[in-house]
Amino acid sequence: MDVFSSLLAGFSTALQPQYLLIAAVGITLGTFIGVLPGIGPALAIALLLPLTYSFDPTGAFILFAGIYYGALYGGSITSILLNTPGEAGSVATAIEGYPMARSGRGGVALATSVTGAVVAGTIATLAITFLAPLVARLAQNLQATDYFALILFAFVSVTGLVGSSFVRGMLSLFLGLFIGLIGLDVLTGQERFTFGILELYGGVEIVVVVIGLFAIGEALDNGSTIRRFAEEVVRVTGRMWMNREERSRVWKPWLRGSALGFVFGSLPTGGSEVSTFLSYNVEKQLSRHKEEFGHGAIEGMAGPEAAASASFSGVLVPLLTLGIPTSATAAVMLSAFQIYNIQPGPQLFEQSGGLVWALIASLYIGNVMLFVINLPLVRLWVKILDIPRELLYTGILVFGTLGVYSLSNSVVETLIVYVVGVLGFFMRKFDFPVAPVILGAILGPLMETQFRRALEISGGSFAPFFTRPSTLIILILAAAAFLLPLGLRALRNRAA
Amino acid sequence: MSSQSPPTERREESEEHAPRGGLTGARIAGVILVLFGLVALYQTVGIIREGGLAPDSPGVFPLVISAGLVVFGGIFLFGAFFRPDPELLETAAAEGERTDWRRFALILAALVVYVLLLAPLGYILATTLFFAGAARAMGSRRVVRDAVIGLVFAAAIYFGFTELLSVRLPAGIFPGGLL
Repeated sequence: MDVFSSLLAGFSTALQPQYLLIAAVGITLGTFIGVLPGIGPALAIALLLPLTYSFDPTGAFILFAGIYYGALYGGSITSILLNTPGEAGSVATAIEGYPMARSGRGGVALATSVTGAVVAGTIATLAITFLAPLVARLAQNLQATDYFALILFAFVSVTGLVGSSFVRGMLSLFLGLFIGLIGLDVLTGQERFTFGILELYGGVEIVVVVIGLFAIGEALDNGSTIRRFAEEVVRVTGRMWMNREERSRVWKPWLRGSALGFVFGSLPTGGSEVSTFLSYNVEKQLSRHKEEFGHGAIEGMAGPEAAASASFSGVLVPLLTLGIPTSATAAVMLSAFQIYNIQPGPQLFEQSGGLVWALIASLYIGNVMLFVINLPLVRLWVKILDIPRELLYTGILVFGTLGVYSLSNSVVETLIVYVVGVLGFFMRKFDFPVAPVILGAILGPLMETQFRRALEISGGSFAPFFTRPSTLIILILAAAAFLLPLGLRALRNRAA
Repeated sequence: MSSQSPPTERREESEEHAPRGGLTGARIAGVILVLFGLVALYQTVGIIREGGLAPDSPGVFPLVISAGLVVFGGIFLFGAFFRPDPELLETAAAEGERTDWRRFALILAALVVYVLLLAPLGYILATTLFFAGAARAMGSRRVVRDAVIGLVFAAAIYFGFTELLSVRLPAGIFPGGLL
């Protein structure tokens, strides 16, 4: 009922000239960073975090939304023209988009990507507009045990569903949980895993983890790689827009991708990986052009592109209403909220309603702007791919260092980032998934707090975890999400 | 590749060789992971000694997590020795083969020197030096070009951040913020 008036108020904030300018800057910067090979939205936001320190919270979050959409599209450009997906969510784009570009349809692929992102982003933003307030109202009844169970669910789904190896997924998660424990215990002030280093008493900032794992790790990896063959950027030639046949083939994948992206984004399944993967397979099953898949099937990239864009709005639902981030991007955004002393959760819509609705309104605006800014600028973005690699990765190291140093002004803290970067480097060498580390580091402390709060309320009894119906249901779902992939894997192994 | 040896034999040898390179790496990684878990477990004993082991004490989560690290690290290590995952070995071997460890060490050294020089030299000068040094470590041959680009880049960041965004960066040897 009052969703409309709230949204209207949000628009009246977000449409102010300075916020429109911020949104445009965010999209431009986001695309610029996202185009750089190997960099996805989470890292783009983390790297650009220092830019926002002088903004008010509303401006900062409008900037983040712009950066996210821009970085997502920038990543698609790289996937299509260079075949180097920056995040797991854009792998499908590379599988179909790169062959399209190779066969002279790069312009069409880019247009499909940006239009699909805008369509899906708008649909998903509509969904969040109506769903988020409802979830927030429901969430007000949640208790500590429910939160504990929800976070457990998030952990299980991110390690069980993502990545090829269960053991490596769990190791990543536990490394993240370990990082989250470092520092003084919130309740008792007891030192944990600080190794006597003063800078670790306050814990390791999530920005440090993200910049270290993604930026420093990626730059170390690429900087020390011997390139035997020069990577070739496919030139964009020919049409820049879809023809009638292509248009008729993409709109259904866009709609299906939007739905998958939003639903799986808002469930605790960790961002766009699952939904883009599902979308790709759905389109492959439904397509009348199955033989084209792997060789540049337009619906095979239209669906996942839409899913990736929609999943961002989906991920915002648990982030804004429960305060639980379920993707690396959301984790960085949560830490940004914390810089501004804003605590996402059921109370957010009441306490900071103006900010939330301005953010949601700016998602609509950001989608339109993405289209307006990036469709004409594609040829300019493509030029970024020509920057020599050694300068590119040196630049990323400079920016990563800047991100941490400007936040802390501390040499030791910056060295900690490098240590995390070396960890990220070796994780890449042995194919460990990175996302569980970040979720573990940010959700682990949250989980522990809820766990101990629940036990304090119950006087040390574990009974509420099993007698409270909502908690029990979530725990059962988590157990199912844990056992299902294991069972499937066992079945597949037996068949093989 | 020499053309004298029969092609079939060659192929077998390279297939054998690739996973073996990955295997050693995976074993080392496994040992490090288990050792790390054991260190965490040892530290946890200290935490428990200080804070007890009631269900809501600060020792419970560290215990669960360090035990998890040891257990999963152990499974990984066991796998690396007795049931190697062929996919992992292939990835690790390919990654190991294309990695120039000297470059890796040089870049890391450049980073450490960079952050140590930031405050004494100032942001612009330190960043310019790092830019030239790191690009050189990554294989660039054009030191002057790199330094000039680094200088422009550093100056743009410095003035953008200090003047427009009022984020403080070290001015270093240029008193009063340069010029």
